[in-house]
Amino acid sequence: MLNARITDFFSIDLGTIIPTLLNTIILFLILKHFLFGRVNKVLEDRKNAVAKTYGDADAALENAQKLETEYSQKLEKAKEESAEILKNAAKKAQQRSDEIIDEAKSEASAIMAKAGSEIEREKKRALNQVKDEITDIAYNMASKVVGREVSEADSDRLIEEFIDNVGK
Amino acid sequence: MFCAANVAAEASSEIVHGPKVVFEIPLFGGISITETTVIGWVLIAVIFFLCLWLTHDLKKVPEKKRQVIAEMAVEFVNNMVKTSMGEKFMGYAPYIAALIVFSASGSLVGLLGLRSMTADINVTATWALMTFALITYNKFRANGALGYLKSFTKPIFLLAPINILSEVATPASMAFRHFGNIAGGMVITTLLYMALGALSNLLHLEFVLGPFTLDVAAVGIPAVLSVYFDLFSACIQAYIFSTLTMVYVSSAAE
Amino acid sequence: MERAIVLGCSAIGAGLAMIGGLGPGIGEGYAVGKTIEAIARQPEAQGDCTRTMFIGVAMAESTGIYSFVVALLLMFANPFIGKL
Repeated sequence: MLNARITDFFSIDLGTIIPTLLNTIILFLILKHFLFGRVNKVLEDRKNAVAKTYGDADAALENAQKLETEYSQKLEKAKEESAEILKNAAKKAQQRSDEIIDEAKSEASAIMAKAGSEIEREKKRALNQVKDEITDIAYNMASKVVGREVSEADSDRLIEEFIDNVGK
Repeated sequence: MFCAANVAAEASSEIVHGPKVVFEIPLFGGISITETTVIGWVLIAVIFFLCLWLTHDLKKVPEKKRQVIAEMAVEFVNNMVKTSMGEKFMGYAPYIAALIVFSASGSLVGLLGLRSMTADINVTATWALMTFALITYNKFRANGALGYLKSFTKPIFLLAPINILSEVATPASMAFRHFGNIAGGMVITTLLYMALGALSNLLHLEFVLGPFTLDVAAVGIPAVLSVYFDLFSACIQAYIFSTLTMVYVSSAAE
Repeated sequence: MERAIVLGCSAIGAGLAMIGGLGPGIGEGYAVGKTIEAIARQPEAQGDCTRTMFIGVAMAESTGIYSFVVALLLMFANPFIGKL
């Protein structure tokens, strides 16, 4: 080194240019493989992981929102259904009560009608009975008064006439 | 090369000289391997082991500081390339990083008392030629061979010599800018050390300790200049060289 | 004699070459002034302005650096002496 040759301050020589060229290319390759390749891979991995996490979170949120709307829809439907059921039940009950009332009314009116006709019949029967009794009484009285046997036919006709007149 | 008969010329070439020849490879009539190349090898080895250490076990979630440092460095270069060149040139990022790291560290070895690697015109010329090759390759790829040749005759064919000159001036100016900044700083620092040594000799403040000479006046004062010429200049020239490379290459691809 | 003339002329040439330092000096001063104006107008953009200014200044410096390189060549690696 002591008696080493010293080059000029400003001299171009290929003995330096070519090694420098190779050095730079080697350094480029070193940086490319050992620094940039590795670090870029890690950065890429991290970016992907973050993106994946965000994507998952978004998907979960979306899912939750979907479920929520679904549930709220279901709830709404259930409410509607119960309201429907209640309404139907009320309607049915109303119908039933109306029916019952109607039935009762018609039954009552039927009973009334029956009772009326019975009364009528009883009245008629009683009237007929009274008529017969009156006829008998009249017949007896008449036979006693007349003292003779009035022919059957005549008597009947007479009695009828009498009763009709009395009845008037 | 010089007959060196002149004493002044001899003295001046002792003050400021090119890199020393460390050894010669006896091939093709002797390839002289200079300090520059050896420093380059050492730097490459250091950077290689630094890379291995920084990217030792990378995790998806950074645990160690060195991974953060490695990521910051990579992101810095990636962002630079992305803003200056665009997404499709991301493959150039390691090359740009190599330029920055090599240039900055090659200049900063001056702080260790070694000869700055970039104070050798051969180094900066090599890088400038590499950039020139990339520019030409991109122009070829973008326009085709005919389009590349035709681009010299714009706006009129009379301007072809000037266009060729400006094409050549690009790498030349890049090489000289980098070389001039670092070598100029080195020369000025050397001259300042000499002047301060002479000053301390004049003031009888020079102490000789065996082979070492301590110049009292040379303590502290050169540090101010060293901050500018070695630290600032080294970093900013590395940045400018890589930025210019990116700008030229990306505009060549249009 | 010839050598002395060449060396002297080289020294003069180196000195003349350094006149090229004028241009970047003016340009850089102008750039820095404009940057300070911009920062005064928009203090929040200080980081961007300063970064861009440094790059621009270093670019503008390159013309001065070229002349400096020429001066250095004339002084320390004089190509004309070899021609004698």
